[in-house]
Amino acid sequence: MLTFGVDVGGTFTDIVVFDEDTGEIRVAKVPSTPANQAEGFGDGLRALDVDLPRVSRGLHGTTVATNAAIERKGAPTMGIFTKGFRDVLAIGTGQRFTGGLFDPRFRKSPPLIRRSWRFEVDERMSHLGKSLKPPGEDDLRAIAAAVQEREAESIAVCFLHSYENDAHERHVVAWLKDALPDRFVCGSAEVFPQVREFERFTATAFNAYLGPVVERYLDRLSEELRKNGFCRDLLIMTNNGGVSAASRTARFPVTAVLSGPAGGVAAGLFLSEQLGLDDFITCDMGGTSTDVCLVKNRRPASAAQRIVSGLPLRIPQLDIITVGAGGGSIAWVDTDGRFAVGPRSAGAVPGPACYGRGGKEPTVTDANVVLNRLSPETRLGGAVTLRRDLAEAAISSLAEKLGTTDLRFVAEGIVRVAESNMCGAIREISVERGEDPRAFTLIAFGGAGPMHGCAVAREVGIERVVAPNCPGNLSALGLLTSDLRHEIARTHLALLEKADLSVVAARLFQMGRQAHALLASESVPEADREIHYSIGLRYEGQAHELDITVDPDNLDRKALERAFTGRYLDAWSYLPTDRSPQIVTLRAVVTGRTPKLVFPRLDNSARQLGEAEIERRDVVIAGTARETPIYARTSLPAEARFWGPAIVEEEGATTVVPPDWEARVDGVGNLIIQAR
Amino acid sequence: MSGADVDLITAEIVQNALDSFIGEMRVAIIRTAFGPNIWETHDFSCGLLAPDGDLVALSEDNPVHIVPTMYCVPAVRKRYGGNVMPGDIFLLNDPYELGTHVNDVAHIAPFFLRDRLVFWVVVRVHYPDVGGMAAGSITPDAREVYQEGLRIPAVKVYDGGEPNRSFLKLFFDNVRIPEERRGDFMAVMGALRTADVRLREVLGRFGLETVERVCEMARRRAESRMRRAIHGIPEGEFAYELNLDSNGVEPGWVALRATIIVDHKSDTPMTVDFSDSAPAVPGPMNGAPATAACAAITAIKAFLDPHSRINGGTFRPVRVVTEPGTIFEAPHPSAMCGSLDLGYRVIALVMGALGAIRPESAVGDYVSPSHQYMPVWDSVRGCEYVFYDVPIGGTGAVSDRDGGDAVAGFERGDFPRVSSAEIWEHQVPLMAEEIALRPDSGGAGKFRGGLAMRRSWRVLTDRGTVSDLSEPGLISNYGVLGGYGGVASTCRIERNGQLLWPGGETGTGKATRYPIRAGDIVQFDKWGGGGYGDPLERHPLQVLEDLEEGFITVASAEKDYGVVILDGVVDEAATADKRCALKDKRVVLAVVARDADSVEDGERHWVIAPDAAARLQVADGQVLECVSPLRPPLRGRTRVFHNAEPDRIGVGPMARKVLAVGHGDRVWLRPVPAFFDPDGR
Repeated sequence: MLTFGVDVGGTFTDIVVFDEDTGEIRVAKVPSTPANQAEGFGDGLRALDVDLPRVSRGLHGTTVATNAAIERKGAPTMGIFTKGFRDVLAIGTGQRFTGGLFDPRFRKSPPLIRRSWRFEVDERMSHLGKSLKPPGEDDLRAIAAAVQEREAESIAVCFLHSYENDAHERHVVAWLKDALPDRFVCGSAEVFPQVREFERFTATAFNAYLGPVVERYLDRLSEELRKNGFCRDLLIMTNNGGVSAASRTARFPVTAVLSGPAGGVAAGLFLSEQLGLDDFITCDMGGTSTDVCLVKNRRPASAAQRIVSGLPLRIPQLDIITVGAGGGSIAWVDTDGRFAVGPRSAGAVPGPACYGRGGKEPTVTDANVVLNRLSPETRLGGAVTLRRDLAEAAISSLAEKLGTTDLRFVAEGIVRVAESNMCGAIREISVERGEDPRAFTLIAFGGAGPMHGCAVAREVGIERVVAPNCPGNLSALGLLTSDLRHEIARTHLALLEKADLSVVAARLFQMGRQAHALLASESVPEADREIHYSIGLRYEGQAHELDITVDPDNLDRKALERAFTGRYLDAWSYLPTDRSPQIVTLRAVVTGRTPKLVFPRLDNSARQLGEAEIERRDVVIAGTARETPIYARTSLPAEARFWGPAIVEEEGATTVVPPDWEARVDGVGNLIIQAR
Repeated sequence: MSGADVDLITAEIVQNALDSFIGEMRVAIIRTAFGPNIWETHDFSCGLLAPDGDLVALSEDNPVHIVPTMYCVPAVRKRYGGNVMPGDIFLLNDPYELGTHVNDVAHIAPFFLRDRLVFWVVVRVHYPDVGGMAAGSITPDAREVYQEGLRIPAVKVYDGGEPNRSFLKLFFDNVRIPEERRGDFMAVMGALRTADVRLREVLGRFGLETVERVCEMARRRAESRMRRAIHGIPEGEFAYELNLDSNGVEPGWVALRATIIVDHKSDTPMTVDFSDSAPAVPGPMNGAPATAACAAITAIKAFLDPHSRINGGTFRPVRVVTEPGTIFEAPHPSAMCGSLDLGYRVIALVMGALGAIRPESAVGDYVSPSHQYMPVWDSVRGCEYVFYDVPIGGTGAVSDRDGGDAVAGFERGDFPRVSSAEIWEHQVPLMAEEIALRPDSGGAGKFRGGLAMRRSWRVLTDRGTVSDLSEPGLISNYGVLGGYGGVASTCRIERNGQLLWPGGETGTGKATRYPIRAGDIVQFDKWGGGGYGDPLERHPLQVLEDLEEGFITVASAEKDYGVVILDGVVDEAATADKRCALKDKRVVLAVVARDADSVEDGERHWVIAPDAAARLQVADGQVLECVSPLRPPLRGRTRVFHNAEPDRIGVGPMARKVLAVGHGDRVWLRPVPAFFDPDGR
């Protein structure tokens, strides 16, 4: 049987096909087709001549939801709110979200649903979940008429306290679906059943806004695949690093807004199992940006919210931070003489100066050429020859602005500043979240990741770096390694000392059943399911929760409190007195294990390290030019060990091993680089 | 500091490290603090100061916290001189030093490297209560600083690492909800410990000298940027005058005046002089020099160069002048708990004066302060809980776009301002009735001011009061270049079908511990933004869209914009006629230069003939604004004088400076509704 993964990026669509019978992995890249991503999808499958009837699983990372959100090309959407609260969507928390300090001309992004399309229903639920006033039929009839008159395609139903009791919301959703069967309708409690009306309503508005667009796309794609003999449900990469059936993604498209970067984290998880790593940070450095995510005990950190199209999207998602530091990031000096790298990027066109496609501005890649880390013979993706003269010209124009003629100094500066930006991102996901990065391994991938991984690691105190196999295609491979994953989280406010734990357990079990049902609908056999329960606790009066793993069969007040205070003490090195722990969120995360891709073992019985050496040249690493061996990655034997300085070249990526670091090749070809 | 510059690359990396250092300190506080004002509204700031107290690094932050931070070290030095040791931490909230209310408590830690004091780390936190006569320590009826809570001169609370337990006990025993305050205090102490470790790491990596030089380079860069911006505007004197509705305890305007002098040849090329402002007042709306400086710098930065880093260097080219005894140098024991609020109006004042320099950059007013407190008794839990909100209003329109609706303005850090109604309902015996944008609340203009918001609460307890300190709370703020002002902030109570207005009853525009009871609906109406340009020049289709979206009413479309809409379509002929008619009805008078401004009991007067009064439909005492084409309006109270010449108006020297008019020039007079929104629309 075959498994395919299709990952659509801004420039290229990556396709990976894994033959479960032979273990063969095949990879292709075709241009993306932004107008209709399904075309690039099809081109990719054709490029590898995929025999669709033989495919057991098809996985897909898509930017359809992301693009529709960012470009504001969603469906005409109507919102229905509790009477008095339609402007929650516009007023929100009063924040601007994307800057604007000191700037009188700054305007924040408008809400996804315009005011005249926001309707109200005279209904009310109390904060304890008691129905104070049920919604009336007349209001609903008027709204249904307005939907038809305005040709709204989608409706978001957003009532107060529906996280506590969604009876009103469910009633209205059902009524509307019945009255308007061809419209997309969703309620806030099914999208994001958590307290705080603005965040819940906004997530729901996003879901409704994206619904018809994503639904249409996936329907068309599935139809196309079916015609060609693919008879399974397509699986879509979601915000939490797992995959989910296309039919569910079509109902909850907000779960696919971060479909892109999540693949890299999934790939990291896959590697960590093979390598026996528990705690690591993924660092995916591409052409324009770097995505980083912290994984502890093989559980990726999750974030509360992310700003999408100027609005806070608060749904379960990985805590991935993106910084504008990539191979194409442009170095510049602003009018005040501040030196900076990024966030502007040369992109694929014109690309770095050394590509010779007309780029004139110095980029990180140009700096690496000047420092001799990238040899002119290196071919990026097989298509480009790097021109040292053009890289030098670009860097010397910058050197002039800095008042120096020392190109090496400027090139090193560009690299150091880009690396310092990446370190800022790593510090943000570690130190600022109460984690010490020194206890983690850095997995560096993407086209530019292995080049800078060790330097970044050193700056934040990390002592082990992994430069995995196929670093340039790892995100696409990540698709093939992902489990089905669903997270259900509900607000449940109660003081730990007073909480009725049997109610908590009952709710957790109910959520567990819901999660199991989802996997069942995705045809995952019971033996391959794994469920993980946790409770988010905080000290009453604080804002931030710590998530404590629990077994709902054995909920114990004392044990919960011990686990919580222990974690708190670890993170913040003091314990507040006079405060009681409070239960805030119940969580059930269910995973459906899927057959995994494995890297074939290196066949190297006879090979020697020396055979992998292509040449030696002077390379500038850590401030000094040294004669450095250059190895071909494909020729490296398993279990080879070598000290830096060394450079490992392969198609699409270059790994730098600095002095005082020792690299080891593992049995399948991953490079494990350790500081000494 | 001397020595060669550090190369720019190292400078950028060091700056990144310092930013991370401050960022981590902030996060540590947010994650461990107990007061929602910290973890929810982020009302605190962290700064790194040079040994002399100059600001070298801070994160994107509340501007009202930035400048006062620079007054911390001099205050510590004044009291302790050289007696500053490793492990010391000082507490300071003296409003006469820092220029804001006593709630803003600075935690000041010297940082030593090998026995040398090389930096100071300062964390300023708004404590929701520091004692005093009223819950929340901010009350519009304070007459002395003693009533506002504990005033802490620089006090050593940690002496060589040892806590001063006596002082801390005294402090926490005198504030409301002491356990929450202690939690906040400990969170700051924890963050200062983290800061110490991290700063040592940064200095260990780069070396002290390098870091010091980078800080100095950054300040020089900020300074030269500001100098260049000032040299880019014309020389001259520009003035504006704005009134506070009241001093808090009694009705009557309080005049704030700023004159900006731009002199390219001077070492401090811009001077902002507040000397002409009213004397210190008996209520809480007083300030200190830090209040004036903070507001002036915030406005100048926003007007001239919003997009660069701010640090001590930004302030160097600007001189701020205040006069002892005035509202900006109020003598002890003047009440000071309105100083922050005064400061926000001063930003508006300075923005008004700056607008005169470059009218195309003028901004409709919206820089309004607002504090709301509702201490309510929760009979289920048997305790009092304080509902506290620092919400936002509409922002001012500019030359190419409408103002923003109910959003944090440029003068505020980007932190949550409007707290979740669902969360509040879990915490206090209040039920949210409504949160809504208010139609017609934005100032009419070619570009409309942003809309105000209303938030209403149903009271579910018989024990509680409401306080609301907002400015302006009686009349609208200002629009620019002919635009109208947005609505004022008010707090009203709907009881048994009647609308009570505490701020109107006292004539101060502010509510003070007004008793509320079960069944009341308390409405907090916030301010709208000022408009930009003549509303009769607004595109009729934009007016139609505003109408469709419910941003304005039909009445306003006709009356303010002169747009006639029939069956959802603009009637172009009727609109043209309507606009002509409205223009004809405007009262335009010729300026007669007088030797003195007509000011009585601190209130400016516009003396007009009965004929003009009839055309304006105003009587004695009603507020008029005088508009000259390129300036923000100047307000005064109507004085009808029978011998006044019809078609003419006397204008004194200060007013001529503000309006930039001379004898014979024509000005447009128009009434300002005494209370903009009497129907509670």
